[in-house]
Amino acid sequence: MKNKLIGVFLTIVSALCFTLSGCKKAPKAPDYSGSTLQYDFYGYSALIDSWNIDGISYYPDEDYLTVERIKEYKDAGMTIYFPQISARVDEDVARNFENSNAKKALDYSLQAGIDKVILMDTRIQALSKPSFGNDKQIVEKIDNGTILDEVGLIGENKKFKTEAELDSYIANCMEPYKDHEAFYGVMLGDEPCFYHATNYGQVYRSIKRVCPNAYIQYNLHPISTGEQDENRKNYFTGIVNEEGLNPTEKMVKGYESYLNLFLEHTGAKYIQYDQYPFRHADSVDYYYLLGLQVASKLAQEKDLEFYFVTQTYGQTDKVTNPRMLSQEDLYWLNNMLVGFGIKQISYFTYFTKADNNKEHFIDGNSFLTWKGEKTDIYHWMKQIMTEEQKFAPTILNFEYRSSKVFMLDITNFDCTFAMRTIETPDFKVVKDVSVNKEVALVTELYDADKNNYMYMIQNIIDPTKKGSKTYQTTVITFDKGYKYAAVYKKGEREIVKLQKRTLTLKHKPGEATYVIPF
Amino acid sequence: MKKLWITFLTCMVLACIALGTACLGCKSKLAFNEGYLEEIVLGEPIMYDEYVDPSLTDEYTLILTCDETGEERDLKQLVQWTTDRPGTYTLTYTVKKGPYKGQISTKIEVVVSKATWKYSNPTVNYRVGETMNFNFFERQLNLAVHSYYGYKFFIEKVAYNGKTENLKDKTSYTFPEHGDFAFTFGIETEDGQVLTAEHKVTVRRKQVIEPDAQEWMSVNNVSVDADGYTYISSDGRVELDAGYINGSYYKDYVPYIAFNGDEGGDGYGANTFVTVDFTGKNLPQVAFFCKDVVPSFTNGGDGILFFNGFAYGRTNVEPQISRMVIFGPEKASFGELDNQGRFCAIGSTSDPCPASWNSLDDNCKYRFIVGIENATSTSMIARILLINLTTSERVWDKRETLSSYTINQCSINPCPHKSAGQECREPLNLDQDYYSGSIVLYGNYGHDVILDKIYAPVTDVTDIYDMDKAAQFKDGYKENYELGDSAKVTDFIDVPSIDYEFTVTAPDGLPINIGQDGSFTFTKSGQYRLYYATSEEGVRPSSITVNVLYDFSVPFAKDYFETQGVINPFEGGLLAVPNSDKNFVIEGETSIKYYTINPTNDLNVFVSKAFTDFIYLSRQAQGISFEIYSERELNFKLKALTDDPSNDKYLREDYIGVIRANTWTTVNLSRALMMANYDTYKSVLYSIALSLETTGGFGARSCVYIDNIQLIMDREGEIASQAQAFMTANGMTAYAYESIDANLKVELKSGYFQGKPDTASGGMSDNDVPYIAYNGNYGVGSYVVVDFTGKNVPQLCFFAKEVTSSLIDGKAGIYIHTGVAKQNGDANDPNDGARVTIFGPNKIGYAHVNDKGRLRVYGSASDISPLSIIGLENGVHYRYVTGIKSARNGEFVIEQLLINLDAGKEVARYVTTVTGAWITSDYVSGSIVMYGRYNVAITLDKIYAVYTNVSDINAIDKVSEALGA
Repeated sequence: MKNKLIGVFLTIVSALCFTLSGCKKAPKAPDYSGSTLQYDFYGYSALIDSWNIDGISYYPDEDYLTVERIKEYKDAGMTIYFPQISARVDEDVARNFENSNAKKALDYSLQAGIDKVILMDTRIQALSKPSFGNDKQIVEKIDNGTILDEVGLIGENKKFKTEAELDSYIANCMEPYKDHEAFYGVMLGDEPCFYHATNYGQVYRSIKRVCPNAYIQYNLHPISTGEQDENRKNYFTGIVNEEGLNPTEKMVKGYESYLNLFLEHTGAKYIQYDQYPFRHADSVDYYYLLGLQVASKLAQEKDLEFYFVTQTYGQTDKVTNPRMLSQEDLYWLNNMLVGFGIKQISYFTYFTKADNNKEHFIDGNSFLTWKGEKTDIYHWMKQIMTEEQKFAPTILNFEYRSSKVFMLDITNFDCTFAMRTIETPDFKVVKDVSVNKEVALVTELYDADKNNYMYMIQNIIDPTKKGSKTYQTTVITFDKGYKYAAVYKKGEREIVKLQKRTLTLKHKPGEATYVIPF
Repeated sequence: MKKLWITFLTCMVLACIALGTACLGCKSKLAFNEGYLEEIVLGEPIMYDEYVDPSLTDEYTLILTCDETGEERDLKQLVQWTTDRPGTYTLTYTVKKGPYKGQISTKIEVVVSKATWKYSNPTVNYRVGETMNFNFFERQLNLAVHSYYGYKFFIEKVAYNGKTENLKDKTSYTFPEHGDFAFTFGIETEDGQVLTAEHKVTVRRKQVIEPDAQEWMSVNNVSVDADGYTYISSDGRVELDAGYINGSYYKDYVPYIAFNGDEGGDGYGANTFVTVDFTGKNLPQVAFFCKDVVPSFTNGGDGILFFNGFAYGRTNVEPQISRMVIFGPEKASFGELDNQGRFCAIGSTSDPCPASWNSLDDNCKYRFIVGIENATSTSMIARILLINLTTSERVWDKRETLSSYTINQCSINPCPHKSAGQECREPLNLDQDYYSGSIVLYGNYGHDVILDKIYAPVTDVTDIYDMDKAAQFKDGYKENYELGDSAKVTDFIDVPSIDYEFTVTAPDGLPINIGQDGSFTFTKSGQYRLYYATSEEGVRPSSITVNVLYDFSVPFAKDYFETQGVINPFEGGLLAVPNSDKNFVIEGETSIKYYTINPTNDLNVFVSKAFTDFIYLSRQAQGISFEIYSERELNFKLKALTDDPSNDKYLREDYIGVIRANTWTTVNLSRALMMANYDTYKSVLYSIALSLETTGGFGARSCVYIDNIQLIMDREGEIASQAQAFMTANGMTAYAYESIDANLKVELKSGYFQGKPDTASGGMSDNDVPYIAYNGNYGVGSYVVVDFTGKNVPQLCFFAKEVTSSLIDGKAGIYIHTGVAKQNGDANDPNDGARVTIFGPNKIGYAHVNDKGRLRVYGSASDISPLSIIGLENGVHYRYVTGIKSARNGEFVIEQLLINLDAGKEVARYVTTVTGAWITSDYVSGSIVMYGRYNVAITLDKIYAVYTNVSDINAIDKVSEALGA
């Protein structure tokens, strides 16, 4: 009996030991609690003083350049004030700078609690992106190869004989504002073409010589469906041989050469361009994802940061109904940028863009209406930026490594935008990704200091598609040795145990989860 | 040991059972997926894997049941079902076997999404005949539609000028006429929701420049704002569209027509005058010296701008529309039409400028002549003539020196041009080059402007009156008449040798007959207009008005003063305004019912300005009385324009009392009270306000009653029989006295005058002053003695050949004067009020107390005479002795002595020798008149008979008595 009892006892103990074997001490979770990193956010058209619809000008009843309005801007989540044309600096302003809107913008920002202001000095902008004639003349010059004869600011028969002369001019331009406590940087000409690169670089480097601490805001041309064929030639490359390349390869090669051109001329430590994929009511720009991959890859190779101007406006394409950005759209855009390891995000636009001579911006589809009323976008973006800042101390330690799209062979919705991608490195610790519905994006980021990998898993179904709003399940399988994961969603962190090295995630369109396996 | 083993084993078994139970419980719970959709928009699919995890088991059913119809759908089999009917659905999830065996259900709402939208108010401009493309209109509307489904924009109809057109299926619209067109537009979503709204488009008339006008403009280098005109004719008629301010003063747009001078030249310099004829309120805004001709007042370019209006949209704004503001030297460059960058603002809400929007009469035609004279680097003079062509009167003749202007930021730091709390007035400092440029005639914000005729500018004008030659009336014609008085044409004009026209129009608008001898009679009370025109070419007609006072011998109708609006419970309102959202009154059988709609602290009873003037002119009327009734006790008091004592319009004399509850109470607004407060409440229509107040204020629908409005009539003066006997015995008469008692205490009423005694042009006119007259032939050695208190000093006249109640009748007399009082009793000016002035030989012959006709003055503002109205001390008892000490041909000597009776000492003594060839033996004798004062009632404590044959003033009894000599 005694032996039987002992036998039963041993059997139970063995069973318990087996059952509880999973309770052995878990590996140490990634810890970023000591990090204080934060994103910089700013909005284009942070200040307007009029707007224009098809040549008809309208004016607000209120002066938006006030401390209260800048506080409202800051309260949305912005950290840099970017008043642009409505607080520009030009010759007239420079002569009476003390009474100018630019001075007010600097002073009021400080009072509102923002100590970074990027000014638009139209003199510097004009130097960086001079006119080469009207569209027709430019095309002729590109086609006959003479466009580059006119480039450059320094030398005989140029605007400045020497680099010192240029520096003197830039110093004189910046004199009124460069020492202001709130001055952060100046803006170069927007969306330059390849033939602007020389001027761009000379102005960029001159500013750095004159005022080394000044941030130089520049924004390159996007890669999008609008830059195919003729436009690619006119914007990115000039006349080049593209023989044997498929359309995607042409775009990738052209855009890479364009980015490299500007990086070489300026020596800048970051890449920035803007792109707005929701320009049509029912589709996503085919080259949006591709552009993020190309620029991220370049930034990774050259050890640069990647900044991005993203869409917070609604627009009509004049054919289909206007695309009104939804909360899902905004998550779609922002999660993707965070997932690509982008370090600074700016929003186009804060006020509804003031001028629509060429495009039709719909009032009520930015943070604020023309009349200064907060829209849903203000509140949604405030929430998104808050979540991103909560996540910033963690994600900003990671650098982009790779990105891949996982898509079913047959999808219900148009996923063409997800089909134009480039080859990227294999994931380091992810072995498999499966999607149950349509399409998911997975990016891989790496923190070399802590040797942690992070994966962003996002449902990138176009949120505007009817019937798209249901959950998509993505199952991600990690390398063996990984038992747990730190899971981040909307800024909240949770430690979960992997089930047979897998993690099952459910996302509605635009939603994403950031995972650090350990 | 055995027990120990058994206990250990029992614990372990229990632990295992507990662990096992917990695990089983986890596994077997049947549940829908986390976060499943409970609400689905109609047309969206319901997908099975949104709700269940198909990987759990195959042994399940998923049935979707429409609660309303009971229709069931097998969602497992369908995978998804696209909703086609709104309502509540039940999804039932049943697992038949295994660890999840069981059944659960949930409700799903299929809803119709509610479309919402926002749109802007576009500013689109069209003219008759132009076409509006609906795509363009839609873009300007800036629709922001929140709809789950797509939508289509449509314009349903347009309504204009009483007509309606259906526009469904149209893509554009051509405007057939001018006016306001109300478009009904909307969207229809794909699920059938319709939202509509209306937007008004103002369509202007077609633009026309007549061919001859085009040539005239070309020859004279006249330019016009291409978008802003409607019509330009060959005879100078110009129609300009309304300008506007687009959200900011800096974003203004104002149509114009401009005179640019010789082609390639500098334009027009100073001493150039522009003339415009217009009707009603269509006065153009005129700018001189414009280097750039732009459709803006606020663009900051050179220019002196004459501006008389301001409107947001079409709503006019006070006080700008009561003013003429002269802006410069960069027009209204500060974009602040009420302050910065202006030379001056002429007029106010309470005292509007004759050329202001408020003052211009829709029923009248006008001529506006304006220019800049005497332009130097530091100053210039703005000259304006405004002529009412309908009445042929020159209603404004303005000369304004412009030498500094308000500015926010002075050119010098710190600003030397202002004291604390004041704005900088930057001194003018212009190059001569400034004084050249275009002359721009602008339209107005918010209103179309029609200029009946514009005239080419006239240069090198040395006298603005050369621009306005008019038939001339005589200077100093009589302005006020009693009912029944007669006058002659020659009283008003010098009859010309050429053809002329002279007409007189009665207050009722009817012409009156003028006799062969040129005489006519004033048979009606009110204002008569006299019109004079000659056949001389280039001379316009002119006209004047004279007043005929009311005849109080004819009783007024019972409700006369109510129907005339003499008093009005609501400033600016009509007497009876029922069914209004404002306070209102109704006329009852016996009274005015005075209601409030909105709660208020006080109710104000206003007295019309016209009536106050009537009281002023009609000395028989001593004010107005009326009765007030209220169910609640009321306090009343006069209401001042301001509560600020530093403001010179602070209430000068109050009238305070109580209206007892349920008691008809009479209030008396006396002539003296009204005169004392003459300018303390002077709006356009009203001169005084009586404020009614009650504890806790008036609530909505509170009511007071006003009734029995009557004039307070002058009564005959009272004179004691002893006084009458004394005066008869001494040849004395009295005029306009209140009382003379047995002790010879005299109360004289206040006199009046019109005009301004310190103004060279016009001066005083039409005066009437109470008096005590010593009738006789008093010459050398004649002295009068009078006792009075404080400032009740009489004015004296010696050598009067005829006793009249006028000091300015031009008749013989040496007049000794201590200061003219204005309507409210104040000294007219500090100098005149501080002096004793001796006038002669015809009293105030020039009707001007500070200029010609003065023989001698004693005292000034800085050296106040003790005998002057300012120098006399309130409460002090005085004796005043004055007489003619000596006289001979060519000279006489007046002696004046003022004694302080309380102190028994001499206060002032003046011995004045007057010389002049006009002093003859005939002149230095006559009656002596002791006058009262203008606009102030005085009391003489005691009058005495004339002392004659006096050789030593100190020997007069009354002097000795006072001084103890």
